[in-house]
Amino acid sequence: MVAFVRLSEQPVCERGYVDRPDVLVAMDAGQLGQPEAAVLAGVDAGTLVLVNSSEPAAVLAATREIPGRVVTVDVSAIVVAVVGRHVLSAAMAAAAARAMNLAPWTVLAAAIRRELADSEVSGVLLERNLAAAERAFEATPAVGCETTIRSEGSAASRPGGLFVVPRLPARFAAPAIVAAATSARRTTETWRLERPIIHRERCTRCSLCFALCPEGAIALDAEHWPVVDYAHCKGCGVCVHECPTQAIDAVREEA
Amino acid sequence: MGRELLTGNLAVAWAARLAEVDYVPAFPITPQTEIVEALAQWVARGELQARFVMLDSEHAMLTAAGAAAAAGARTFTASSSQGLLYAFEMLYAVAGWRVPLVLANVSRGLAAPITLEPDHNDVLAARDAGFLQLHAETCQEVLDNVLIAYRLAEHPDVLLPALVNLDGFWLSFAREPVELPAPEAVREFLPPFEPPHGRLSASHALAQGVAVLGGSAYAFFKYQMQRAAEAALDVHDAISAEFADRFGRRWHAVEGWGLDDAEYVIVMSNSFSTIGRAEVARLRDRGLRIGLLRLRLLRPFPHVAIARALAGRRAVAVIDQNLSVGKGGILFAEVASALCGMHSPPALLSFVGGLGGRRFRSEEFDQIAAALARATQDGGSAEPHLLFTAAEHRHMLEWLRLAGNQPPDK
Repeated sequence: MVAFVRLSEQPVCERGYVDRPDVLVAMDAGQLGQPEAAVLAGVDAGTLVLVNSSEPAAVLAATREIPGRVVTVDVSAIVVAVVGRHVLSAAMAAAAARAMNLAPWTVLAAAIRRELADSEVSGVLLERNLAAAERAFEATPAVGCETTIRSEGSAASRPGGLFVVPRLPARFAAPAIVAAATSARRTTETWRLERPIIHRERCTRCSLCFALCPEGAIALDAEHWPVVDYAHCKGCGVCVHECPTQAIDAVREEA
Repeated sequence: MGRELLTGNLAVAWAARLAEVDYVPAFPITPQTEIVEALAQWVARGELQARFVMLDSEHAMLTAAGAAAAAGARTFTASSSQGLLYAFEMLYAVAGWRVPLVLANVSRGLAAPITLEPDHNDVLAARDAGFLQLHAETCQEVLDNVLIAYRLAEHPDVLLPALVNLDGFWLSFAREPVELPAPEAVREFLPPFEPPHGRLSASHALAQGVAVLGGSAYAFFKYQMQRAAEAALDVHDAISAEFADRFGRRWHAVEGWGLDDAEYVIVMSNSFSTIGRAEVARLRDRGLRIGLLRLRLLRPFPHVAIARALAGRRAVAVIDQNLSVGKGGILFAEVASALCGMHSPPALLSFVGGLGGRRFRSEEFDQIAAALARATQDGGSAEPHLLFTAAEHRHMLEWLRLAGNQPPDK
């Protein structure tokens, strides 16, 4: 999931994708390692890169080869501790606003309150989100960001050369997948925020997790013990929730 | 009221709320659902005095909408893509009943292959149904178009349903500053609906949508719709002028940018026009005399306004975000028809871009500009050209190979 924001005192005369961001906010550090997601495309030395991660910024910048000015905040730890659920939006927005030095906390708190109220989030959940957002705000250094207008896209003139799409034989030209088991090649381990760990001492081998896993990522071995295929588990938590003997723990993935 | 950051979907919902609609038959579909969710919430909270009903399909939804409008209720409904097509039979039917209602369509490409992102094959499939069509570029225009659409649809010289189009994702889920007019000001612009024809009610027996056989009656009633749509051109202009007096924003049937000195013109519609305008501005900075024409009112089709905007240009490129398979861009053919009979018309070129939300590349506008210059010498062509890059094509061949489809190398 990707979203873009353009902020300006002047009317914004562009829309859609931001190719060269001043600020990049990565809510899940795992996505930085996904070549298909191309999260770091367009990031340069001037870009402020805010990542939800428990790693120090310098370490993350080095291991992920991030060219921008990296700031890390462990927003996941904050929301799990304060909200009790892995809901990132409000706290991550607060961290981003603070990193960009955009607005004081009181202004931000009022905005979050209004945003969540519009989504019918109220009562204890609203207050916990606000508390988590304030913790994230305070945990984030106000490094500021460049606000120069970067040129979007390619300014290079390459006139002529319109590409003409050739006609393929019809049997290749329909959106059909004829190769078997292609989904096995697409690993989804970096999608996980939490990893299910099965404890055999509590497991009764009832096979409910095997039956209910929506990804088919739990198999039964020869002795009917459930075994998680971590390359394809997305960390949805259905098995953790459904296990009748609470034999499966959700353990946070470190990023 | 005042200025709010609203998604295109919420701008639609706010417009329906400000229009004080009486009845909202609904059915969810991505990317439209936020509209009916907001309306349902407001009705539940008592902030909108309307009846909100979830129907079992878009076909039933449109039927209910038409019946409610026939009974004199100000009616709003919304759909998208596959949903609009599922309602298709009733689009023609309710238009033929000559009842006004407003339908917001949140554009999304049509299956197959199934997708979520926008192009205009859904809304343009409905172009012959008898619905008037207004196409929006910004979230503010979305709100304004819905209000204008009610005035237009309910006008006694028109009495046709109206469709307001906005692009899925690019407008539906994009938040922009939107000026929300005061409810009293909207009430003055759009007073409660008083149907000028017989109102369907228990105390006044009346048959609507009766069958006719023998051709004459059918042709007569059908052509009355055409005459009403023709009248809607001037009515739209008068309503837009009044809207501008009250709210300060003037909307024309077509919107031009940089046209004063333009030798070349690019024709686009909807939200991708914003990208087109930025590219045209870039080309103008380089000294090219080029402008943009955005088609806003598509039904009735503003032949004269288009001809006026394009007369005297050297060459014109129409970028269609739709594909009539076996023909090409739908709007190209329509724009070409507007130039019929013109003395030394501009050379015309047809491009297809943005299908399924496919992004425009900056260099493609350079290529279009170069093609326009060539067309001035070589003449235009009705042959459509898909905006697609060699790199994209190589990528697609790689995907096909992964899917087990190994096309022969050439």
